[in-house]
Amino acid sequence: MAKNSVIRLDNVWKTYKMGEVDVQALRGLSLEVNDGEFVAIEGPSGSGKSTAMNMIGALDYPSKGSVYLGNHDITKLSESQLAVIRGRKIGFVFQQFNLLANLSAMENVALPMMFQGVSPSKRRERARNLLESVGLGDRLNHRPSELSGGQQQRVAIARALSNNPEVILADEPTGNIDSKTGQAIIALLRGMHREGKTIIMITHDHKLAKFADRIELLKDGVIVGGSKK
Amino acid sequence: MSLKDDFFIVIKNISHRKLRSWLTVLGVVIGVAAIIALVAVGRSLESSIEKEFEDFGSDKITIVAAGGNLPGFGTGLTTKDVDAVKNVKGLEYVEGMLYESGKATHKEESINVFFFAWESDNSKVLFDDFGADFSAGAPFETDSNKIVIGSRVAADLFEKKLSLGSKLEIEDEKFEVAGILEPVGNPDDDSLIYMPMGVARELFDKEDDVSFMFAKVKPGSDIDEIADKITAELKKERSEESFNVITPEQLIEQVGTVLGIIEGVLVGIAGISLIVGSVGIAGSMYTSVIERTRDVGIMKAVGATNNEITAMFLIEAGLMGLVGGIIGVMFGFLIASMIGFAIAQAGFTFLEITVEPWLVLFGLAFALIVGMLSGFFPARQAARLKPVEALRK
Ligand SMILES: Nc1ncnc2c1ncn2[C@@H]1O[C@H](COP(=O)(O)OP(=O)(O)O)[C@@H](O)[C@H]1O
Ligand SMILES: [Mg+2]
Repeated sequence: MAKNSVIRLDNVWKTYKMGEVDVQALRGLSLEVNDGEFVAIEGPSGSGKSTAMNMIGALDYPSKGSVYLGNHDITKLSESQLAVIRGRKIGFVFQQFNLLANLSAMENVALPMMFQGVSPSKRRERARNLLESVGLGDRLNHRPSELSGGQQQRVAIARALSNNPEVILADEPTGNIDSKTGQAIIALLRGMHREGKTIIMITHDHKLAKFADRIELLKDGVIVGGSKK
Repeated sequence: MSLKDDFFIVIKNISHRKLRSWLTVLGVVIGVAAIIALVAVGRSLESSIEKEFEDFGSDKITIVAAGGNLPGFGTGLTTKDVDAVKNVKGLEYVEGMLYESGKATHKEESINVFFFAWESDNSKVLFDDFGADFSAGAPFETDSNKIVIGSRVAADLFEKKLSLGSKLEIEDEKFEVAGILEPVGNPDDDSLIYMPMGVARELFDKEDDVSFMFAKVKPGSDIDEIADKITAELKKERSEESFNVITPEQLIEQVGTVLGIIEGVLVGIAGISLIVGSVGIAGSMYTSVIERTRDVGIMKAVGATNNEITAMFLIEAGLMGLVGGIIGVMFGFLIASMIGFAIAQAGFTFLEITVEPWLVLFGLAFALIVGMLSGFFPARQAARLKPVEALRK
């Protein structure tokens, strides 16, 4: 095993049953990400990127193969154990932001801490600090619907950081925002990387992938190549 | 995740769909209000009637002719029957009572009233044992044209009120009011006119009729045993069993059975409304789960366990149930009081509506449990959503 591996996928297969047809979204994907890396997984639409993200983020079980988060084999853990690990170790940034519409920016950022049992006063303080660090110090009590796409994604990034996870997992983080705002989001991710976080960014856009230290090319559910800075 | 956090999220969700949440709660409100009001009225009726009997005492026996088991119904008893019962040992007294209706005229105004007649020599004791208190005057004690009137006769029945010494014509004979009774709370009893038996027999031309007999047993004697002896004595005298000997226990039992049935029906109706309410909660919770599939996916992605999701939905359903319960209890109390007020307006002031604490607690607990039970399956469904699938929605 390599040094300080935070995520390792070993010959992972994922098959979706669509009625009679089996769709093989992943066909023996192997991937290892080390502590502190910024890795981009690049591939065309339908290549299995989101499916890979589900595996890396412990959102779903593989059909075959193993997925290690640190030294946990997720295939051996229950759904609730996975929930706890996700909450602690992984921060998600989704293409569709996925904020809770009923909650303010601050409450959204505090939500993952709520599930970890962080005290309300600590939650508030940390949520405020995080929102200030992504430039939304003046939008603490706004609802998602009162924020622009770029602002919502920044709230999502603050939320991803709230439990101080080892890994930030971003699936097409700029997919729903204009390219100028997208630059700002990428800058935030790079900033987090400089501060020592492991970043895994999934994208179909090679221009974005180039911001990473390492690019893994995904096609038809397997890694078909890659490049490193 | 603390309970406080659960409530925070739940209240955000409920208030986000205010109107629908209120409609859901309304179903429970109706059910609980119905239960509280109906049970409160039923129980109050029961305890008021029991209290009436207690005041009446457990040492009285009523004997009526067959065909009726309440005083005034059925005929066929005579003074000979009264004399026969007098042979039974252990009785303090037995009195034949006459119950008649006729015309009473006061200052040119004539109305129909009911008359109650008993022997003048035992009159004082009888008024006492019937639980009638005098607000003015005294019982008649001789066979003269002196009457005692119920409170409504004095105050309500005639245009011009009656007072002590007022003159009244009954069936064209002149009478004088010698006593006025305190209200007993039952409009029929409060509308009676009492007169001496000797006078009544002539006035109504009833030589030896007896509407019913009223007996009191001596202290320390066994009332059931004496009732059996009375039955035996009357059988001997009448040579057939065309009469009923009624003890207070029997009456309470009969009344209790009827009240039990009424209460059962009322609770049944209330139960049905609660079921409707719980279907409402379950339906609302299911839509809520479907609407919030994505939210559940997000919460799971950021670390919510299945149990935490279940708890959230259960608390949401329970809270709606409980809120419905609280409002329902208040409405039920209001409705019960209104029914009580209406009954009192009709003259039945003996009925006192009380909502017992256990009924309030029961109503609240029931609403909470109904809420949580209705939310149970939707909550489980929410908890079982796979995060990936929930997020695809
Ligand atoms: N839940 C699912 N059920 C059936 N097929 C799916 C499901 N998710 C993904 N797929 C299929 O798997 C393949 C990979 O999908 P995905 O991982 O979303 O690719 P990408 O994110 O690269 O566009 C596609 O052919 C897609 O249709
Ligand atoms: Mg995708």
